[in-house]
Amino acid sequence: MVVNLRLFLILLSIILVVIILRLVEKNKLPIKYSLFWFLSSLVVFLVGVFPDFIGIFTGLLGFENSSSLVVCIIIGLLLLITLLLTIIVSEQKRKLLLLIQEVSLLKQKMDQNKKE
Amino acid sequence: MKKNILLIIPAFNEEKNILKTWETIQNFNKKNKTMYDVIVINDGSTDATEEILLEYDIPHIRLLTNLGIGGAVQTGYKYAALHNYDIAIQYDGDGQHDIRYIDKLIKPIVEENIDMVIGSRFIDKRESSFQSSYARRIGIHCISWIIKLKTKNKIYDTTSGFRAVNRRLIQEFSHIYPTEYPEPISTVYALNKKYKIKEIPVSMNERKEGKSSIHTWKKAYYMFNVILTILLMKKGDKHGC
Repeated sequence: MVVNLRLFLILLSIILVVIILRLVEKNKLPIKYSLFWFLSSLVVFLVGVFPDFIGIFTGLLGFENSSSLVVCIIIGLLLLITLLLTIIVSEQKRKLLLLIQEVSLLKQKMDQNKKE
Repeated sequence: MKKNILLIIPAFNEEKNILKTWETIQNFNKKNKTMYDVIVINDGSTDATEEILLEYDIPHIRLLTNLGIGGAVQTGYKYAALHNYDIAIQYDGDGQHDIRYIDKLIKPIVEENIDMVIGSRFIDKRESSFQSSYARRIGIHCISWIIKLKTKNKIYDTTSGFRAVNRRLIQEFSHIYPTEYPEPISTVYALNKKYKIKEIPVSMNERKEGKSSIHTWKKAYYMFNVILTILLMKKGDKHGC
């Protein structure tokens, strides 16, 4: 792998970690969700630091060069994050449903009491 | 012993039908000395449904936003559980269901200790003039076959929204109820949990006004969704709910 790309990846992961740390500090990102981002940064970092490792898999998985594999790894991480988001959204949808039902039932009860 | 009976009527933009449905029930109650209570679930209607419900003092719950049929009906079950009803009946607000069959629907619950009774168009074909379109019947049969495959129980009218449940299932459904296409999935859920289900022949009318909740382009998605959900359901879990 070219040195430029390696430097870029290492820099990218460091910037990512700094951003996430600041977000956690400011309470904008819960620790729970930051973990996955830290892991992703770690993967990108490791790819930059140990290019030989990537070199082995490039041939093994049939990639033409190691930079395509790097792109592929990053897409994989993005897919996982999207999946995680879908799970979170579904969970919230269920909670929202419950909330709307309970509030609507309560409002009906209040109106009923007012009438009586 | 006298049973408390609640009709749960989900209504989404039913300004043209809801008053008629309400009056039909009231007239029937008067004429036959029945005591069917009604709760209309206004599922975030954007038309005049809410105004009509208020004007004629029809008992109803206005959902803050549109939850879809499953979320709306479940609200009805929660209301039924809260007010200690013995039997809850799902009843359409658009004139599809015939009130004269409610007595038949309730009977198996009271006399045979059945948990859920489904009003079916396909058991006795002479009973129902309206049989729905050919394509839809194929879909219904397909789902019926898959339910048979999974639960060993034959349910003929798998998408019928005309159904009565007893106290135990009111409790169950007020906790867990599928959101998207609830009829076949809640049926499988009940079967998996060993509840007793019976189908009785009823007659249904065609919808008078407004569109059915299943549109043309959604049919394929409907089939895919329902079949996959049923196939993935295991005994006693909460899939699709």
